[in-house]
Amino acid sequence: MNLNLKVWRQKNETSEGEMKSYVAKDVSPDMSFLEMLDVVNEELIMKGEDPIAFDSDCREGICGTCSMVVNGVPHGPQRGTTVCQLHMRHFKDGDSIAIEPWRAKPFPILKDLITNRQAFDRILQAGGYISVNTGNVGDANALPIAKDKADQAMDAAACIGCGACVAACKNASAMLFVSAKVGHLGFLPQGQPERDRRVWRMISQMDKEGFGNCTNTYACESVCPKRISAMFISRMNRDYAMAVAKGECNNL
Amino acid sequence: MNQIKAIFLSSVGRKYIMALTGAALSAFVFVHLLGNLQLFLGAEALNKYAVLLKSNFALLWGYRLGLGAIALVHIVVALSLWVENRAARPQKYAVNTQPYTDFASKMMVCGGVAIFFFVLWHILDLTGGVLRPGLTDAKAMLGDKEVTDVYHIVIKGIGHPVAGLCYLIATCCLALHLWHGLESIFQSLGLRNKVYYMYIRWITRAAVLFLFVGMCLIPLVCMLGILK
Amino acid sequence: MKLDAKIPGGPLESKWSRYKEECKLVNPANKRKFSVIVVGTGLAGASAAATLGEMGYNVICFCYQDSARRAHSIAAQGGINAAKNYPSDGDSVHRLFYDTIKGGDFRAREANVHRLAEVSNNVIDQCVAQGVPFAREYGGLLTNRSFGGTQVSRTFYARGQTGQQLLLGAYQALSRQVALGKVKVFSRTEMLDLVVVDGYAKGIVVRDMVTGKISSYAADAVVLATGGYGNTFFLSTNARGCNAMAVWRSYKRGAGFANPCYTQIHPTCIPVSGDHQSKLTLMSESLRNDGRVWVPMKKGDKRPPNQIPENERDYYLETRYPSFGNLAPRDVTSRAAKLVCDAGRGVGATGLGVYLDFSEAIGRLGRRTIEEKYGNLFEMYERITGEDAYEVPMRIFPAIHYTMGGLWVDYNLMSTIPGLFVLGEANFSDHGANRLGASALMQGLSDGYFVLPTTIGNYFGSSKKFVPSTDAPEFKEAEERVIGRLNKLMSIKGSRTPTSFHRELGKLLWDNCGMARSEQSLKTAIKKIQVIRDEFWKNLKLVGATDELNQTLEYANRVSDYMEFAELLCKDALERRESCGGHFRVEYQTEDNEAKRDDENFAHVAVWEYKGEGKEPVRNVEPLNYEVVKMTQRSYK
Repeated sequence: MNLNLKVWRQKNETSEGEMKSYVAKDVSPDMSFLEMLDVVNEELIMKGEDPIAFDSDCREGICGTCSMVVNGVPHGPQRGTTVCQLHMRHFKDGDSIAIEPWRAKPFPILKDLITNRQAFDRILQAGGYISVNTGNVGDANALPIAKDKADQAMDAAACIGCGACVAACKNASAMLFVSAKVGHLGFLPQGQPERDRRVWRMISQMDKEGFGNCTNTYACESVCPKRISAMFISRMNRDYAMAVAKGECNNL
Repeated sequence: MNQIKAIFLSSVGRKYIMALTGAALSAFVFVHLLGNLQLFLGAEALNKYAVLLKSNFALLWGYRLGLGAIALVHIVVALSLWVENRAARPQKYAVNTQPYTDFASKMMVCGGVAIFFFVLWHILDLTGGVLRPGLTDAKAMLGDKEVTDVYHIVIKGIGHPVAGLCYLIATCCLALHLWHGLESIFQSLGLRNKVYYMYIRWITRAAVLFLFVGMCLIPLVCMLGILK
Repeated sequence: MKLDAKIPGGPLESKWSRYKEECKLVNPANKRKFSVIVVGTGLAGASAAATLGEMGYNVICFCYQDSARRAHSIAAQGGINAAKNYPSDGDSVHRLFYDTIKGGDFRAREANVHRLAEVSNNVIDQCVAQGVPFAREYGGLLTNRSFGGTQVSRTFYARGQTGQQLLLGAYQALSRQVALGKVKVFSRTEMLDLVVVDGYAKGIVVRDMVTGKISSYAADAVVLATGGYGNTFFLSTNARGCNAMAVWRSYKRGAGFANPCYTQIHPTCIPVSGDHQSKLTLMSESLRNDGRVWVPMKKGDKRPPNQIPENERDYYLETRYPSFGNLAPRDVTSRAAKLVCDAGRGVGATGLGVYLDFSEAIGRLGRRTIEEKYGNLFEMYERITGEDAYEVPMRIFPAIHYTMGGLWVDYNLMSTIPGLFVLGEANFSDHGANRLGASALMQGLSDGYFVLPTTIGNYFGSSKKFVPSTDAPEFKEAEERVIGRLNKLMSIKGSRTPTSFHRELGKLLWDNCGMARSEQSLKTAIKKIQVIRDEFWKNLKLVGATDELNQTLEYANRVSDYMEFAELLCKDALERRESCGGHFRVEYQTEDNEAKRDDENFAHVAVWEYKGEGKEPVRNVEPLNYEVVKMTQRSYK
């Protein structure tokens, strides 16, 4: 099949970008979306043009590197799927496909479809961990954890940090990402000592990065390739209120 | 001080403010509707209710000012969030379909602004009687006392086709606002979880439907001349 | 090349504790005077960087990904082994040690493997303390599952995302150190060269992948945790960005490269669907518990599988290996698939695939049971192939998955260059000629959390401290070398893309140095590699510039290394005149097609030494002395 692509091209962080048209020829339905772009890029290189720069790594849907908005939807039309796992059989001959990068102030575009997502790293550095040094931590089975709690922690921990939640949110809010880490550690007994401090510090950092605010539209959970539930956001809101009420905000 | 800052400046703190003020305003709207539904009990019932409301000056004005302050906070915080949210995405998507964001949630700001202007008009018109001179002057006898004839003022005021239409449109806006807003209160306050979310969804939606039907009924019966 | 493994004396069981008691230490006030460069942020790199930071060292850490959290360890599905013996099924440190040695076909170093088995338990404790949500029983205790090559349940797991959860644990520990200022992470930064000053590894040259800027970093020691070289084969289960640049360029600065021919091929991957294929996806081996592998009896039978009657199907694993059947080990299963496909009986559009049929199991157990056991795998298969494996048989084919070979290291995990430490898949030490399932995660974290932080102190405590300036001539020379190479790549202006060269090289390797190797195929491959390499340097086409984000250039630079490394891989395979584990030479097999080792002549590690551009590398040997384990023949009949 042949497809009409409109792709965001931007030379670097400071330059202006624009949508440019390309034709993807002889696309096989067995190709993944990124393989289709690979083929387009091979052609561009042969023509001496700059290939479309996009991020990808594992191409198995787990590393969270790939990040593009396909026809207005982060990771494309198939739910619960990263764009690297989206295959071309979901498109038909002659389709027009618009491809854009994540758009959010805290994710500046580095080139074409590549954005800088270090804001996420900084949020985790603010408190997304359990402060325990290596060694001498006691036996792994010394602390039983209810299966239900462990399972819920795992539901939240499945987040791959791709940023689709931010890209989909009409406010470019990072609440789902932050709540997934807060939820993961907050469900576990190991995470309790730092629970207040964690949520306070992570949200403070999130605000500092310039993400938008959550208005409970749940677009984030709809596009999340790991189907992380927005109920973790609710839980985080409560944790935050508790932290503020307990005066965590006085400890900087 | 830090607590105040955490509440009024942080993203989550302001969610709490929006949710709590929203809850208070919603509660008012429901009480207001229940009061007004006494229209169907006849002139005496409604006029008696009006007298009751106005019987204690301090309480009435405390209530009015309190409500106004809550509404003001709700609006100011909403606008601050709106400004920030727009700034968080300086460049819009070329294809900006937002298919997973439902209509009600997209309309929160527009609908909110519409409701604000409607409420302003509504107060000036029916409560203050400024816009249509003479409208609120009607008097009726309640027992041996002469009181304001709220019953007929309402029927006449809302029964006017243009005014009635405004009321119907405003009701739609309000219902849409609450369709998203009521459920959001629970989410924002951290009360929505996987055990209760379905109850929350259906109870809030039922409440909005009740509100919508009740609020539409009043202008309709007035406009169609069912109540005179 | 002097190969001293520096194995501590004493009985095997007490070597590591004795080492820890006797090794040199750096006092806490002095630790902050030492700096360490860590390249790679996978399980080994992130855990090492975090732990060194906790101990007080100053760490600078590099990764090519946009975030440390995305290293390819994240894609590991199955689990992590440990000798906890929680299920009380007779497991012990010794048994884990023995299984790993045997699984590696007796080509690993006893002392290292024993230490790995000992430390495995600490790894689990550490991960749980960090909040890794391992699977649990209703009683709240950790649960285990069994994995290939063992008779006990010792594998801890977090759904099908164990690698992800372990990596996030290490990444969180790393993030904490970043916040404390003890570790600095440079993402989107690729190591292009190692800098050796007066014989000691003292720094690296890197390229900022966003701006293209070349810069140098100096430190007291350099730690490489840069993963394997599976991507040399073009198609593998590795991430697209995984590459061999760090290890290969360190080899060219003098680090010995051990056993490059040990590559592991995984039998249950989703087959290639066409020339556009960019990578392969692995599906859990557990599928073979219920699926039956078959191909049509007739050559070129293109009927849909459901129309091929039972008596025209060849369940070749069941016929050839009656006792193990569909559960034959990875290498045996992979080779059997290759044989039937070579005979023209492969299935699918490309003819490179065999059926894995669940219809019998669905009939026996019901669809519901199969869904519960393998639902997520069936969904993944459906997403990629568009086929419903409940209705039509899956198609599978083997693919390159892991590389056991790597830079040679001694017991301290130090390479032949003093001050250069190598961890995880990038080194060669623990898996011999074949790795067992769920052991890669165990090794990465053991190396990073527990082994290196101890041994690096011993190194610092026993060598003279100095950090050269990055203005030193050795750094300038290295910078010029990498800039020269990049400019050379840009200046060729030929007519073929890096992908086309890489694909050609990968196919050549896969055909001649893949599942089955022979003297002839390897000699052919070596000759052809040289031809492709020559053409690469004459006919490569790149666009853009070096001083900007240029993915084609990054890629071409990596491919230029594969062009050189592939030859060494084939040479090693050629010189190892035996079959063992992942290395199968068709000349050396038993009557029933099993790998036939030659313990008399090849019970050693082959360590290649770089002698300079255009010169033949030298093959050195580290003999493997088995003090505890008795070598036996693996048999699965």
